[in-house]
Amino acid sequence: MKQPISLGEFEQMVLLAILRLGENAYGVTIREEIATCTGREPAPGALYTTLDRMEQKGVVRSWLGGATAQRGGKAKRYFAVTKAGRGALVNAQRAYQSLLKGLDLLGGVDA
Amino acid sequence: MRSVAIAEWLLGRYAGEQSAWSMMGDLLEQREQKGEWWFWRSYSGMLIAVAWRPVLAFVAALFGCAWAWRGLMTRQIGMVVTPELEVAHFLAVIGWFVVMYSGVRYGLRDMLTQLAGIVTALATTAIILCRHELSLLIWTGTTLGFVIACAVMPRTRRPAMVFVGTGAAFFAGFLFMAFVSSAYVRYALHIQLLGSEELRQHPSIGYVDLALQLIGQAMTAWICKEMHRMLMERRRVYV
Repeated sequence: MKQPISLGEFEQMVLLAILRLGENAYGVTIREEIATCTGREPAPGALYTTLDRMEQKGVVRSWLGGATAQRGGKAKRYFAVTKAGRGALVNAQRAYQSLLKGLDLLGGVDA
Repeated sequence: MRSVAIAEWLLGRYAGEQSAWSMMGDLLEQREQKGEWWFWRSYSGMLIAVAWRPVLAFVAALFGCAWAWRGLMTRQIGMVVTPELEVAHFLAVIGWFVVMYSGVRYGLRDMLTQLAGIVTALATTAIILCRHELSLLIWTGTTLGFVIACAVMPRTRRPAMVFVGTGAAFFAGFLFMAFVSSAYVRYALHIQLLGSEELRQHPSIGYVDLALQLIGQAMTAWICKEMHRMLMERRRVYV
């Protein structure tokens, strides 16, 4: 039987950022999206190693795009979430949702 | 821009050339906005993030290699050192290098670590336990391990195993020749181990010996990386 793909917290953040960005998801925009939404700017090293690991797991795929002079003539590496990645993300989010059920964390006085 | 090209080349050694290319592009894109200090700080962080495991794995493998070398040498005290024993010794030491390197770099559950572990365990056990008919036992054991490893893995991964097995055999042959030639030089000069008067008079022999060993270990590390890539490529899920 195939093992289910497990995702860490940062991996989930990166996947969600890629989904939000659609076709414009590459290193710079993914970092900016995470920083904007969470207020926490990930280190470039951590982001790229996470993206590589997720590509090895088969949850994201990447391809090279166009190069610009601003980037020293170097191509952008775009990322997209695969079907397996989307499934793993849904499972992880469902687990969070069921753990949150019955708790008033998001709407309570302590929120 | 020369410093950027050097930085990209160095990053490419660990992250792969294509990845390093796009990673440097991302940094360059933000360089004007965020400044020179940010650029080099981010680059250093990226380099450490991609290089720490291979570097640590190499250091750990050197220690593992030295430990195995010393441990197995003491087992041979009082025995007549035959060429077969030398080969077995080299196989076991290389095996320990691969196991340590792969274990630290890719983890204990990695296929390369497990396969190398089987072969190394067989070679080491043969040296420790058997004082007679050593060559026969080692070759039978190693071949048996190889056959079992090939049998238990899916058919699609067998070509990678055969490729790496052949590469490893050639590599072991190269190391053995290097050892034999260095031993001839030593015997011709009537020198003993490091620290003898003759070696003090001819320190270059020690350096050549050390350089040969380091080159051999770097080659082994490269073979480990290639084998892991081949095994992982077939395992990757494309959706």
